[in-house]
Amino acid sequence: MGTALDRELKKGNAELLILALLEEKARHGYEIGKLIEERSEGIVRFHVASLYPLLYRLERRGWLKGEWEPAGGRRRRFYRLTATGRKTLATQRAHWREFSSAMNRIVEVRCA
Amino acid sequence: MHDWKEIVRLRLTPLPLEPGRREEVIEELSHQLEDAYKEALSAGASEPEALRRSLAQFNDWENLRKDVFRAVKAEELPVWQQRGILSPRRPWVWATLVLSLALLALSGFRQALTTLSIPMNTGPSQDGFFSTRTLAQIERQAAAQADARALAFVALHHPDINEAARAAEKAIALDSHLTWISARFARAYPLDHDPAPWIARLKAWDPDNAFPYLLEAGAFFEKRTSGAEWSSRSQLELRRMVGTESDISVPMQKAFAAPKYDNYAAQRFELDRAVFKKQGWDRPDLLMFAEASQPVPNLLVTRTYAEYLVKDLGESVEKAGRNEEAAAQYRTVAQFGVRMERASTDIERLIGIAIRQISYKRLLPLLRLQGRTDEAVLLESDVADLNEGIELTRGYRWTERAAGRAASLVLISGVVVLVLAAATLTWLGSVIPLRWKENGSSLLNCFASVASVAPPLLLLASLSLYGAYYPYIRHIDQFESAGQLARDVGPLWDTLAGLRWEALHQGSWPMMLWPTVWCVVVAVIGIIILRWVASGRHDGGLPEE
Repeated sequence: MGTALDRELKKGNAELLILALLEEKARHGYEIGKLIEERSEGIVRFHVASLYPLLYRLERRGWLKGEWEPAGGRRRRFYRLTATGRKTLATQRAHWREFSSAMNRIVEVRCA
Repeated sequence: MHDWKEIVRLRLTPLPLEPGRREEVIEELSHQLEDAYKEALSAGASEPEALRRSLAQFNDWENLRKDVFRAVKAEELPVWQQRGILSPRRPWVWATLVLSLALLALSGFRQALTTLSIPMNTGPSQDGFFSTRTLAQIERQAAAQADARALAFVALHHPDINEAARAAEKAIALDSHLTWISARFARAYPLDHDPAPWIARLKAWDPDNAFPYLLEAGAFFEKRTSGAEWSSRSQLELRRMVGTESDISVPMQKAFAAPKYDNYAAQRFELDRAVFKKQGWDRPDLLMFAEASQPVPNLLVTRTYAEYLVKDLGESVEKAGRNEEAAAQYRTVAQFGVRMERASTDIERLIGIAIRQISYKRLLPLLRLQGRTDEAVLLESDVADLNEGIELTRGYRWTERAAGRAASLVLISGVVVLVLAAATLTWLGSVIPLRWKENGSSLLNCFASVASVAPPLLLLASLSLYGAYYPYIRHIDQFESAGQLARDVGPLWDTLAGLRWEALHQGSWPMMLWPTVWCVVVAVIGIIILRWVASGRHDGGLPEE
């Protein structure tokens, strides 16, 4: 994706991406970063130096809860959605749908 | 096997979180590094390459440290924990502050700083040039020590002419050689002031000097023309008035016949400088403005009287065929011009040149008419010298232009230095308490972070001020005369005083005050909004790669 447009589309959606990925199950930071890259087929990638501060911020807001759990012979910090986080995800998702639907109506119009 | 936690701990320390939370962050980030390293190895990368790729995920650890702290604590990293180039932990930041303070040890830099406190007015009749408080203090000391020169200084510079006269009487009583200070009272203003006794005293003390007679003629002319529409009179009417009214013509006649012309500028300069030194004022600017109040004769009367002698009297004598008498008349005028030209002030020098030109314009054709070719050739050489004098004046104007540019730079740098000095004090006032109590106040921490740029900028602005002023640095002992003082540093200080006067009195400051306040308010609001937006991006935006 082009850099300028890419940047514009990314703005404001980082929280939504993380909340959405944690909806199904709890995940650790490395997994979240890889999943964003894989599911977007490499188009969207997180800078790791920004991912962790964002996770800590969402945790401070009470949208996520981080807990240490054993995994692969060592403990990992897994993040899961809180009830507040689920409500926020629902709201943000609704906004995203409205926005993308509006964008599609404009972009997908064909001349008769 | 790499100790990933140690790698992270080394780069992320100090991270002033609660110990348990700090260890969690370190452990979590170390897992990120380890996972990336293993993934790179499994993709076929060599060990060094895998390590490089893993560490490259966090290419700016200082920024990461700040971001993590801000994310966890919802506030800025304490300024003493920051390690950026402007952090107070950096010795060079303190070195810039020390260097800025060290500049204060240079007298030239201190002189440059005084550019912002130079006087606005330069006349002896204007308040505020030397404060009356300062002058009263000097007078008290002088009276106690019977210091006639210091009393004379008060007499020359006190804004209240009655106070000045009182000091002058005391000074002259102590030392009659100081009678020349009477010239300060020889003008016809203020209107209730009577210059006649002072002029009479000066004439009696220095009868061979043209200066007191010129002052006498000037004082009468000023009283005579005060409030009248004399400026609309023709040159001819003025010449007749100056040449025929005895209160003017008699002293003018004596002035043109007097063997010397001494405006007492040299005595005044030496006296003022001696008092400056005694008071510890190494201020060429103040000295220059002090000398600027040097009394000068009424130049219009002087020039008009010269024109009267040449154009009216001389021409009528020539018409009567008494060419020798006319030539002698012209020579008398020219000789007076020469004496006046030797005076220290530029204006007197220029009037002296003008008087010689008036005379030579008639004398040269008269000499040729009489067949006195040799004398005419010599006179032509004199005329060339006069033109050279005018060229010198043009050169002075070029100096003024260069000084004007330097003055603007000095003034702007000086204002910036003041602003940055205030910012640096704010920075110090925030940083020092935070040194002992790092988490004392988030507001202080914010101030300290924002103002951290002030100390290095203060040094740069100070160097800029010093550099711009450097060509004009002088000790007051380095000047031989008031004229040299005026030529060397006059254009700079005049321009500076003018710029400040314009700024304060011609509407610039009042006009610019509220726009400036408005701009500052907008800038502050803008910074707050930008920070809020930036924090919003951190909170909600997808981080950039």
